[in-house]
Amino acid sequence: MASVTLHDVSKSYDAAVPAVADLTLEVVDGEFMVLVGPSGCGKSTLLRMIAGFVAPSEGSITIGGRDVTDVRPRDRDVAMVFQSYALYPHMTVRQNLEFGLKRRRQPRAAIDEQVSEAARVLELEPLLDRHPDTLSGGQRQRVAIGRAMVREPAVYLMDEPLSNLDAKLRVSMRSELARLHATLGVTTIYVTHDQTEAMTLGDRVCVLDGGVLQQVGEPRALYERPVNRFVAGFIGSPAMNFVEAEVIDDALVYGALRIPLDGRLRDELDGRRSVTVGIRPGDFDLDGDGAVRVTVTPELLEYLGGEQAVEFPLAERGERFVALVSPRAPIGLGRPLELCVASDRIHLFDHGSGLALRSGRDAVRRPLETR
Amino acid sequence: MRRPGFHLDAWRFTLYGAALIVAGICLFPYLVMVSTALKPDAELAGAQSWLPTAPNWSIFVDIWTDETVLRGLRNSLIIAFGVTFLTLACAIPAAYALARHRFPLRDGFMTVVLVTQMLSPIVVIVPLFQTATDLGLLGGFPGVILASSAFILPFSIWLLTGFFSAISTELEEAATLDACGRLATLWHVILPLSLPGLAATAVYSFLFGWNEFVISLTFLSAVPEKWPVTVGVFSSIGQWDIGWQALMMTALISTLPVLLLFSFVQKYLDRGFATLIGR
Ligand SMILES: Nc1ncnc2c1ncn2[C@@H]1O[C@H](COP(=O)(O)OP(=O)(O)O)[C@@H](O)[C@H]1O
Ligand SMILES: [Mg+2]
Repeated sequence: MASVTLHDVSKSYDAAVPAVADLTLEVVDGEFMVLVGPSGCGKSTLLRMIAGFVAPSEGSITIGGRDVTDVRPRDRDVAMVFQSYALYPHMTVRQNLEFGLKRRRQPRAAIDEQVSEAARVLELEPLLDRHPDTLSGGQRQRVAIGRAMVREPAVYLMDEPLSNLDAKLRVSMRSELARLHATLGVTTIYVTHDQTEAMTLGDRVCVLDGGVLQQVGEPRALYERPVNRFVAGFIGSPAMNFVEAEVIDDALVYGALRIPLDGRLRDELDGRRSVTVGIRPGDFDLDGDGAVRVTVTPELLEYLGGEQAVEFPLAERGERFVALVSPRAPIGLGRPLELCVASDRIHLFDHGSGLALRSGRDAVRRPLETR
Repeated sequence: MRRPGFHLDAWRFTLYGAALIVAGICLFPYLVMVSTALKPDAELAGAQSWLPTAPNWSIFVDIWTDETVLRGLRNSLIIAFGVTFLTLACAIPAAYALARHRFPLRDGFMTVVLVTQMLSPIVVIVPLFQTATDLGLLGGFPGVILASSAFILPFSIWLLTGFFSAISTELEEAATLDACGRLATLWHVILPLSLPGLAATAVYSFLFGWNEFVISLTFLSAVPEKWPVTVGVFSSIGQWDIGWQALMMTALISTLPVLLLFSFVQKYLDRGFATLIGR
């Protein structure tokens, strides 16, 4: 087991824009760290730098306190689960599991013990003599994890390991992974573009955009206190609603929406006359006593089973807002509806920079890294 | 309603009919070879007949006691295996480098390799002879093997580059983490996954070596005991007298290794060609 640190790591391929820019991150020993971001944001590049397949253009990487920037991948004591699984097609499951141990000249008895232990934990015993092409996606996935497990590495690296599975299997493999991590307790760095996966799996989550680290923190911190508009919009589903509001007569106003300014909001506004307001769909209530009340006309209703999504405009020809409400609420298309939001559920972002506005005291207590 | 069975049968009939015709065309030369080999001298000279009236079966036994024929077969095998080995030994590393490394002028290099494939041995035989003389490679198998391999390397490199490129790099990275260096990755992962391509390359170079004629004829002209079957058969056509029976028999025997080879590697070849034409 080991911690992993990245110091000011950058990577530029041939393009003018770096794939990863000046990134510093510390992954604590035993932690499950998820790297999340939209496609092409540099997640794989970052993971492959940690594995040693890609050399950083600048910066250094340490694993367990040892600087491994110039160390070969095989000597870094990391194991990787690939997106394509990358199982050796010409070897049986058992041979796939054994291969790395054999190459490392481990004694036969130790190899057998490791393999049967992994096969037991991952329920691979009946599959040991089959070839990968005769296995289902979920089974291949488990073999790929098994191949990483038998090595007993200091760090697991996983690059979108669930993205090739169908939705149902993905959910069950997700809890399987969480269970494995809870038992083994090995430092894991996990890449995904799926924010639900990130939120459910990560002890902490690191959000990347355009090769730049946006925010690192526990899932709850990312959800409750996003540092900027990008993180706010990326984390959470359905995504946060945003509008550009103006300060008029002691309130933030956009169309029908009128948010009375209280102490916190006034602090955060810090004299600005216009600001980006963010409200999560789940923060709307039908019959709460929230300070922000707005009457809207639903234009689209989506029944989701456990809840229903209501879409409505706040201003004429404005973008639609989404609110999640109880599925039993008596709502009809075109029938006016009163929604309310608690004032402390309102997020404010700077219009130009997109940074979340924080009141003076708050900003000092909460640096970029929210824990 | 029409019975579907009828369609199927008509289709099968056509298919098998066509296959039979093709097979007949392919087998016809063999028929002539066997029939000629079995004819006594008298029947060769006079009016032509399809089948010998008094077949001389002993030719099947006699041919195996003919020193020159046996020696020719042995020489051909040495050359063919030599060419196969040398071609694979050079094409594998070359193709691996081309498939996995991006270096300056790589595409240019690939084109040049392809262009050299367009040369036929006969075109360059004179300078080749000169070079072999200068290097002291005349009169021995190494010279013939070296020169022959040079002619199939381009095709082999292209073929294998295609196969190697098709293997996912994640697989190689997995091998890297499993403590494989470049060579171990090649040996444990790349080569086992390229068997169809390797089989195709091996068959192709073996056939080239087995059928090779011009280079052996030029390089080995002074040493008849090293002639392969091709040169031996050619030289047995004397000015006055052609030993037709022996000639046909030798030709027949010389196709045997090729048939054997194909029956061994056919399953790989099928997969190889399937991959080449994109499944
Ligand atoms: N080997 C490479 N050569 C050149 N550019 C690359 C290479 N790998 C990735 N990139 C570029 O770097 C950026 C980040 O890619 P990647 O790390 O794969 O993103 P992600 O995994 O987040 O989708 C992309 O713009 C991609 O096109
Ligand atoms: Mg990726």
